[in-house]
Parts: sequence; C-alpha cells; structure tokens
Amino acid sequence: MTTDSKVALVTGGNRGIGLAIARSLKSDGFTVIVGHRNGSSIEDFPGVVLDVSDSSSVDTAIEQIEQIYGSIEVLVANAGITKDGLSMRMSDEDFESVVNTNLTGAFRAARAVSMGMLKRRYGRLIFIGSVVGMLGSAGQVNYSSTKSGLIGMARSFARELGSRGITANVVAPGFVETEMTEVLSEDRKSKILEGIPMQRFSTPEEVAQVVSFLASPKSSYITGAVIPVDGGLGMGH
Amino acid sequence: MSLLKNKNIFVTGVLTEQSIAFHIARLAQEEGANVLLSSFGRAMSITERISKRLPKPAAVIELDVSNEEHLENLASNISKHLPHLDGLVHSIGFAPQTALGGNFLNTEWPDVATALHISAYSYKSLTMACKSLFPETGASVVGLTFDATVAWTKYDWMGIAKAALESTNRYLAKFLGPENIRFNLIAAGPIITMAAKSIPEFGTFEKIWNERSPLTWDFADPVPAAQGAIALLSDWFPKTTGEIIHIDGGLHAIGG
Repeated sequence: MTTDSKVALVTGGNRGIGLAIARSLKSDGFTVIVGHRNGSSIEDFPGVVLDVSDSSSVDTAIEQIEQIYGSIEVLVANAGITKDGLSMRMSDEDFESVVNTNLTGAFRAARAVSMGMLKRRYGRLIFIGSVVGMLGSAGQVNYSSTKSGLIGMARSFARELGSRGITANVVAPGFVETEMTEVLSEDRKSKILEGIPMQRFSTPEEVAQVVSFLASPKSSYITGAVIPVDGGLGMGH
Repeated sequence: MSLLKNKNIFVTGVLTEQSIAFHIARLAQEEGANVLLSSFGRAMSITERISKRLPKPAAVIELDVSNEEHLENLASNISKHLPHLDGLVHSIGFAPQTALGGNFLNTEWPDVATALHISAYSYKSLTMACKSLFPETGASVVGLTFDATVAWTKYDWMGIAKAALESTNRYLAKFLGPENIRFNLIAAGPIITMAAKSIPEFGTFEKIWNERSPLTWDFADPVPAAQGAIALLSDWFPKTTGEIIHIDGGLHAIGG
C-alpha cells in the first residue's frame, strides 16, 4: 500500500538502465514514477509525461507527482541521449541538444524536486553519469562533456543542500548491456572489452543496485561522490 | 469522424495525460466537441498546463465538488465558456488513505463520509449544478467506476463509494430520465496511472486480468475506456440510461 511508501522519480525510466533502476527501487519499497517523453505507464510503474529538454514539462510533471503523492524523496536523473560524431564534423545543434537533455535536463529535474526536499529536509539526488565523463570518448565529445558536467552539478547541489539532509551523488556506469550499446559492432565490442578488467559489460541491474544503495538510508553520509560501476574500466582518476 | 460535432462537453478530473478524463477530452475534441475542463486548488495550474496538450487548449474553471459555493456558481461559470451542455463527464473520486489499503475494519466514519461525498454524492450534486444548462433535447452524463459488485483487495471504502456511485447512477437515470438526461458509467479495468494510486496492489490485479480477461488487457492504456465514454456521450446510445458499460477486456463476464 502506498500510505507510507516513499516516492521516487526516475527520468528516462521507460527502458534500459532507467527501467532496471525503477524495478530495483520498487523492490526496496518505493512508489516509483517513471518519467519519459510520451508518459505512458511501463510494467506497473505509473508514467508521467516528462521531457527533460523542456522546463515547463519537467515542472508540470513534478507538480503532478507532488499533487498526487506528496513530495519526491528520490530523484534519479537518468534521461540521456547520444548524438555521436567526430568533433570536427559535429554541428552546434548536435552538441547543444545532447547538453540540453543530459545536463540541463538533469538540472531542471533536480531544481524542480529540490523545493519539496528542502521542506522535508530529506532527499536523494542521484545523477546517472558515465565512465566516459572522466575517460573521454572519441566521437562523443558532446555526450562525455555532459557526463563530466553532471559531476560538477552533483557536487554543487551537495554543497547547496547538504545542510538540509539532501545528498547528491553520481553513479558512473561503464558499458552496460542496453539498447544503447547493442548497436556497437562485434569488433568495437571486443576492443572495449580489452580495456575492462572484468572482461564483460555490466547488466542494467548491477547499476540499479548501486542506485538503490544511494537511495537508501544506508548511504546517509555519502554526498558529492562519484561511484563507478564499470568493472574497473575507469580506474586511475 | 465527428461523433460529437458541435456538442458542448464539460469534463472534470483532468490531472495527468494518462488519466481517462484527459483522453475523453482529447477524443471529444477530435470528434468535433467544444470542451471545458475543471480542476481545483493547487491542481488548477497543472490542469491548465495539461489542457495545452489537447488538440485545442480548453479553458479550465475551478470546481471543488465539496464546496457549496463552487456548485452554486458552476452553471454561470460554465456559461461564460459554453452556453449550454450536451455532455458532462464526472471523473472525480477520492478516499483518504485511512479508507484504503486493507484498513477496512478500522476506518472511521469521517473518512468514509469524505470518500462517499467526493466519489458518489458529487455525481448528483455536479449533475444538479449543471442541470439548468442541459437543453430540452437531452444530454448525456458519464461517470467512471471500478466494478463495485464484488469486493476487491485493498480497495476497501473506495469500493463502497463506487457501489454508491453505481446506485446513484440508477437513481439519477430514474429521476432525470423524463427530462431526457441519460446517465451511464464506464466500469474500466485497472489502468496504471499516478491518479490510480487509490487502486493499490496492482500486482494482484495484473494477475487476475492476465488470467481471466478474455481480451488482452493493457494496463497502461487509458484510451479504450475513453472511447467508451465518447460513445456514451454521442447520439448513438439514445435509449440507454442507468447502465454500466464494462470496458474491462470482458473480465466481468468470466467466472474463471
């Protein structure tokens, strides 16, 4: 029953890592809302129309959730897109649209939930970064920039809101078996595997369980951290 | 298509794009109707923004069905936007958390009273508040229920409120049939929306519907229920009133 169930919002929660996170938080006892562009419900998660590239869509979605359930305790800022291409040939538009969704979008969502978290003096902001935010990635200057940007963002939220019981952290997955990595060629995949000490990609669930930990009271004194879930790929920074 | 061409329809209870009421408003516009929405309190600004996602943005007026003043002024507020009403959609339900979720034996009367007032009595009070706007040629009123002929896990006093709504539907049909006003309910299967949080334990329902519903039921799709409401609002059910149309994949007809 939802009476005392805490509310978690997962942006981009309709597939891949986001859906795995939604499932994991649900099994922890959260009422999980999945936000995505068309807003349909997924499995037994209520959906809400949430386009992180549009402030008014974000604000409306979060007001809807708060109107129906009360304030949001956990935000998982997961929505992200890629528009890969070599930097010399990348258009402003392809750079900016990835920034607008991945970085500004995470900001919009965190800003919108933070008011309720402040009132409640409790909250968990969890940003889904990427190993490429620290490693860099050829052909992904836009995407990797946003993923590094999320670290500065999380740490700034951590400093602004830490005194009010709100933590902000980044989970940085490496290569995860999702639709986003399915499109890689076998050749490319085996090259990538060479750099991963654990010699395999992660499952979405392996990322989700770290998010579950950060969403739980067990992570109460962790803020501003970047937690890699990358099989060792990103070691050394 | 133009099932509702030039009809004026007042739709309550639009809060999210997943709600049945939103899709009723959307389909009504697509079928040629002029639509007016209501909302109240903090939800007003949300409904106003959601309204912009309709094919044509609809005006939103404030209506709290537990507020006598709102009800008194309703007809004049509606008439600022629509001179008369051919259709009215009651999509309003609420039960305090203490009245749901397995607490049935311990729920106190004031909480039960709230559930009955907002979810069932309001069907009558909303109708009467709009009555002066219904033309002599008739009107169609449609509400939403969740089959209240049986007891559901954790639905508790909301189930009693829906039973009262279903009975109210029959009495309204009886009392206002002579004025050519039709009253019908849509008994939808469970739809997973934020607003359906008063229907807890979706896992239980999923199991039941997946096992017993002869038609495959999509828990994420509010459109079939909205389509049924559109049909009832149209001229194609001219002699149907006091009825409950099941849009539940056929589950109600199957014993197991």
